[in-house]
Amino acid sequence: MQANAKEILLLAAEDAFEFERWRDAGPVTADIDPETRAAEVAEFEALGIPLPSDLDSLRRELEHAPKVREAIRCSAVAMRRSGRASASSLVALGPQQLMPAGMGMPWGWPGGPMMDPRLDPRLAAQMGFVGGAAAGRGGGTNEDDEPRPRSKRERKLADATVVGADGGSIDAQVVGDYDLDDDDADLDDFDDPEDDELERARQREAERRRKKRRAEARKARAARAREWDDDEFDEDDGDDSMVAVAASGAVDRNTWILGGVSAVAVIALLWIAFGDKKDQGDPAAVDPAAQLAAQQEQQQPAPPAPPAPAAVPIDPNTGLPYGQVPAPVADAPGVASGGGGGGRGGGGRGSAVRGSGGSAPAPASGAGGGTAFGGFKDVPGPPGTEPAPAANGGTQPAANGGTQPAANGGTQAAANGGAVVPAPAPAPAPAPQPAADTPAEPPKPAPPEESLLTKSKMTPAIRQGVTQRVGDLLACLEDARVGKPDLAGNVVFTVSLDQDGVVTKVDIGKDEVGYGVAKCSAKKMRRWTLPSAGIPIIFDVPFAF
Amino acid sequence: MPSVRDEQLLASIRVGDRAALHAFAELIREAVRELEIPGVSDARGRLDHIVGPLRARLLNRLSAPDFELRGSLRGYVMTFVALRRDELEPGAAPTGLRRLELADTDRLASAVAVALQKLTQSHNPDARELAHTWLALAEEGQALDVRSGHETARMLKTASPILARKSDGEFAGALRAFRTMLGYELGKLGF
Repeated sequence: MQANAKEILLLAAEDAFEFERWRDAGPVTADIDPETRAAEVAEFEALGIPLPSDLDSLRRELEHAPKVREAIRCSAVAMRRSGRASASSLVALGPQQLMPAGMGMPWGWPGGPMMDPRLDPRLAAQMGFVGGAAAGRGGGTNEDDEPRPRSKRERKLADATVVGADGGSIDAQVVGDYDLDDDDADLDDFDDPEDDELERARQREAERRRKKRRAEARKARAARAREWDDDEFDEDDGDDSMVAVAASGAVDRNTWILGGVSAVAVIALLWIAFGDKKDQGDPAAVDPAAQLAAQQEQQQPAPPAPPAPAAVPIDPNTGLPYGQVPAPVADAPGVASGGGGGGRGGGGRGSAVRGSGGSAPAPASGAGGGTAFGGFKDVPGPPGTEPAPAANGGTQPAANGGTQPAANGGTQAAANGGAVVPAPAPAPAPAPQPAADTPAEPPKPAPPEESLLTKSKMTPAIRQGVTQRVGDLLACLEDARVGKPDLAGNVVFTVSLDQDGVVTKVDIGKDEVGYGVAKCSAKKMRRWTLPSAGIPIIFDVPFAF
Repeated sequence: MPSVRDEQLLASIRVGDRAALHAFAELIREAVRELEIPGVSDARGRLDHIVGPLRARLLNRLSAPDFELRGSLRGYVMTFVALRRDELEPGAAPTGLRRLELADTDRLASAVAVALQKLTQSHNPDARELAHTWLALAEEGQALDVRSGHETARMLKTASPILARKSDGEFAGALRAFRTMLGYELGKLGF
């Protein structure tokens, strides 16, 4: 006997054995899969929704078989108990099929059978609107009928989705009474709609009273607020909407969270503005001895002018001896924003906040020169970081005369002799201020470090690290191959590593694969940490997918 | 009409998505728990020895070419398990496919061949025709793209010119009679 023949014969046995449970059922025809129909019937049973006519007749015949009847009943009970029946089959039904005959509800349809009240009120409301204004039984139907909220004694039986005639769908819940022992009128929704109406009228009355109380409270608050309102131009004084947004007594949790976040942000800003000043400090605070010396030097009569350094000619453009390198460019922003030496010792770390802080405590005791910046000039610093004459400084730096090093020119210092004489504007090297008279080189931001790097080869350790992580990238390829199985090609990534081996940047140099594989791979590579090369490096990683 | 989610899950199951298969097994497990089958639903553990074979059978059914889900997948699974609860209950008499599982397949195939030969001598012409056709299919060793006896029975209608001329109702009646006879004959042979 061939294997295939054996399987076919076994299929005959399976068919015969399976048929046993359907033996007594009627319409187990070749075109009807009895199991799917039985499942459909069980779902309708679980939802308590009347079956469509064709399915109902089929159910009657299927239930001739005791096993099928028992199975449908068990399934319906289990799905009803767990609330997991899904009335997706309802989509195939018209809304008329939802109405069991003879059931009357206020929001029902005109003249016809009414809706199953266990369906969710939202569904009921929707169906009522679809059917038009209903003329309910006993005059109980009003346009302002509110949907009946689900009481605590009820529990959800199932979810339902109903598609209306306009194509839109609404979700609904089938609810049932939970506590059968409760003697409340909620239980007899079917039998006693008058009680239900009374209950709803009571709820509406209570709601109306609550609204009235709220409105009165709002008006009282508006009156209080108007007493404080001196704004003549406020035309909408009668409008209490301003009062409505006033903070109520009970602050909710969101308000607390937002308030907390705001407070943290304010504290952070204050810390940045003032707390950081201690780290940077003004130069006077950094070097109190130098400041003290400077002040003493200012207060004492000016010493005789030092001999002019005739031997060292001064470059008038830079204010430095010829041959001396101008100030480093990196310090320029700090000087510029510092407005008075904030970036002096910072070495390019100057910021606007720090700069403004640094200029604030400038000593105003400049008796000799009467300048607020007198104390800063004697603080030694690198020659390139001489304080730029700020816009508010004007010509005042020159007033210090002798204390100013050769920047102003030795001859002038000697001539002034410490007297307050308007001096020509100095021309320090990194004059970033536009107020500077002399043409100065504009500050250039320091170029990023990586742009100075050139591509290098992967170290063996990095290559090994990449090889170990190739699985991540293959996952991207496999995902893409679901849609296009013949994906292949080369991809070249340009990876930037910092000195710790952390991938800082991944560029896609060449992408022959497409379909987002390179993008996905680059995204994953950005999370990598490879063996460190000790320095930041850039290298190419070619992949042949 | 199943929901979109059910359709998606069904499609994922059919293509063998592991997460979907896992979710499907959970669906079966929930059905087994909720149906309150004595000795099964109240047992502790993951019930893998029950869920596993059920899932295999359900997958076989779902992967059939003409399978069409009408309600929700959960409803189908629930009813599928409920229809076979007598097979799941421990200690119950072997019925349905448990008869098939408990049987030695070689012996069962031989018994089916014997029963079909016997049915070719039946007084019922429809049963005779069906038995002949089924035996012809088995002898040809034709690779049938079917997953169940139900589908094979449908295929019989296209394999026989006599059966092909019957209406659906007539064919269904003939099939009912044939299935009953075959089951009875197999029972007489000890299955």
